[in-house]
Amino acid sequence: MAELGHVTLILTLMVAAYACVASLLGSMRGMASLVDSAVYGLYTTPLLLVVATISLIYAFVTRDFSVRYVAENSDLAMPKMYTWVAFYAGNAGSMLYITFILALLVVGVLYYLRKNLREISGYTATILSLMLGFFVFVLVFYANPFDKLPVTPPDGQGINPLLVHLGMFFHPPMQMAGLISVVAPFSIVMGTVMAGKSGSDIWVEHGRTWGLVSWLVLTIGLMLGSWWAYTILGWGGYWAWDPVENSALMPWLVMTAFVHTVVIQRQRGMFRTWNLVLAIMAFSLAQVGMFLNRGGPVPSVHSFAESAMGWTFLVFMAITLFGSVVILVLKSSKQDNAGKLESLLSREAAFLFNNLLLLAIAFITLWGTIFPLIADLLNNETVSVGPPFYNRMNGPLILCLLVLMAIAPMLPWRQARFGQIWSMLRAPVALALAVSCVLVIAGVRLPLAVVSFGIISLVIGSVLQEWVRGVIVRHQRGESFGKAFVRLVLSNRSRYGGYIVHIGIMLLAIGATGSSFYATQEDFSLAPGESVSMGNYTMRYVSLDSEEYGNRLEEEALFDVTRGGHHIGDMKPVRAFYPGHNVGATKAAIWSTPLEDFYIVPSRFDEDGRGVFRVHIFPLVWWMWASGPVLVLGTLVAISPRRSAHDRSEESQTV
Amino acid sequence: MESRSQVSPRPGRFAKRLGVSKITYFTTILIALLFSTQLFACATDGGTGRSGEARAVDLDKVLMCPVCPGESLDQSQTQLAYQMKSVIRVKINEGWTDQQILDYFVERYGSSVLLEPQTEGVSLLAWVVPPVAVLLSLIVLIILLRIRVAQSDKAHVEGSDNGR
Repeated sequence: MAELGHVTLILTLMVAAYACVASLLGSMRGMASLVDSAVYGLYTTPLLLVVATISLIYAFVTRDFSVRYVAENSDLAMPKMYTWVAFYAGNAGSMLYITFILALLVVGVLYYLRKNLREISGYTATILSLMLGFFVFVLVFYANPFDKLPVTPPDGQGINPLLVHLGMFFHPPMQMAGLISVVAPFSIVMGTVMAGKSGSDIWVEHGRTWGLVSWLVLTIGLMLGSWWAYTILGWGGYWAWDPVENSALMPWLVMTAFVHTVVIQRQRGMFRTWNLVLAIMAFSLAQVGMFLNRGGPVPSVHSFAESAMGWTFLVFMAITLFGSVVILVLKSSKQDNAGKLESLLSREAAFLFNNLLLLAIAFITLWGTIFPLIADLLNNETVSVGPPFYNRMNGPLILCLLVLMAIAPMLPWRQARFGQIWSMLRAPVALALAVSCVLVIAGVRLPLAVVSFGIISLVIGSVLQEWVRGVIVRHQRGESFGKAFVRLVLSNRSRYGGYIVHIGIMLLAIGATGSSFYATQEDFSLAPGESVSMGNYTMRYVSLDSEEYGNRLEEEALFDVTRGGHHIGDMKPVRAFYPGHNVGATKAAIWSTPLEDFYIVPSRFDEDGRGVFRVHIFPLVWWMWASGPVLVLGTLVAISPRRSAHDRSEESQTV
Repeated sequence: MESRSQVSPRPGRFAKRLGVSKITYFTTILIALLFSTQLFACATDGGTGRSGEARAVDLDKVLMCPVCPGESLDQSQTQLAYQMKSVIRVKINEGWTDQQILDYFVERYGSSVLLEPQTEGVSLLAWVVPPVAVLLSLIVLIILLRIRVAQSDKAHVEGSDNGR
């Protein structure tokens, strides 16, 4: 079975190589049948890779330890359910997973383009097959998941026990899919350039759609990762500015910039070259991300086993980046009629400032991530760059971005007068000031927190104002309020999808502000039977339950918790120790309400049952997780195709 | 589409209303942005008159556990992290300042034990490059935009407005 997997990988490599050459030649010479053959060949790759995937999973499920990857990433004690997870837990397996997703993307993008923008589909196929070819090449020659061991061991080594968790089903696959999905807007952009159409707008609608798809997957991956870190890893945080986390954030930031300025290009034909550059930048950063993930040059809690493979990613990224720029320069075509920038005070300019802020944050994140390498190179000094650095550098920029989010959507195209803007901002500013006053009176005194909440209210107020205005206008035309609300959103999906996403970001900001500034924590040492109070909460340590499982010792503490006199219920923080891996894992007990989270983590237990516990109160974190579905909803609304010509004409007038 | 004469352009107009030149106006905005960075520095630093435990926790967050990659003392659950945390608290009670405690650990574990780069030598680069880069890009962007706007003004005056 494993041999079958290996064979399909080689076949895929051959298909990709053929498709790359055939599509390029066919496009350059105008031979449609050659391009067709390349595309149809590429259509088979997901099937080939599914066979490879299934054969690897089969090896895991049948505990085939003769396969090196299975031996290194599973053991007899691992529940069968988690073998799917082990599949992408290690280097080679995750590469196979990414390649499979890439093949799906290749088919999706090509099928879409052949329906909607056939003229660039040949060149896009060239780019996509080149990327696919690279990954399969690495799989076949450097990271073969089907490598056999000379002697079959009786048992495997098993994976890091921290990974044997429900979250592993969702976060890593989503995150990895997100990183590779940036290839979609990138290939559409490069296809357009190679087809000699870089001065046109033919690609913008489709680049926007695929850009949003990629952004959506990246966002879900990031949110799941934060949620997993918070609920499982027991340290109470959700973002550590870890190099691997940063490597997922940077493409996300650039894609955010991209999906904003493509709107300007769609409307007014401006910033064409800039958008092409953004797509190239986003993909290069995604490749840097894959390098950091695997190369291990910067230590991270996330690192896969370090391998020389990482450097092949870096080299490939350099080649892609350099090649893209060269192609962009050589094939730059005459610009179609473009809109002109008429004022610094316009939506167009505001979106450029949005780009500046987002790219600045991406740059600072990149800088902080690679600075340890720079310091090592320059001075042979080992330096660490951690959260304090990023918070201080990125914090002000994020605040500026929030302010911009309040103002930019209501800026008119071309030109605005200060008086205009001020009259539009009056109500949201009043709301922001009112909220700030209420907060200060209620006891929120940290200046930064008040300012943050104020700005968040400003953004929410400005979105609501636009929305209410839109509904009222439609109502005056004769629609009922309900119908007006729905039709408003559906006829301006781009804009209102964007508004929903902005509200989602505000919910995230509420969660981040509350938990960053007002989190409290305390350590308690308790013997069974003892009670202690923190904030409004009283927790009574009832008992300790120790269970020995096949590969671990689990100690579960039972707490009886009341809040302000009301009995909340039982909370059961767990501490597990895996002697085989000599690693401990904690599972926090969390009581979550929209107002705050009550969070108990066990640090250690003594023989007599006495335990040391760290207790956190995290205000408003619930809103952070609530933002997830809102972000997804907003993006889906923005991506969803406009239904009728009427909708299309209405939308083109307003967004 | 509104005609040019109806729209009063230029943020510079607002500057005139305030009675200052455009340059002063924009420079003030830039300086305000710069000060917001200071806001952050003050807010995250805290003064010295805080409770011992608050200081200890802040130090925990700035020091890295040497045996776990990328985790602060605050996050880490290892034995070594606990020992280091108690050392911090003992030293605070003995009257050491924050900087002395940090230097103590740097001496023993090397400068990589600090989660943010120091402000001397090569590490100073870490702090200087971002604000400089961001400010430079902001200035360059504003200049480029103003050039573009001036060009479009000229084009409009010459009657070559393309109607987009």
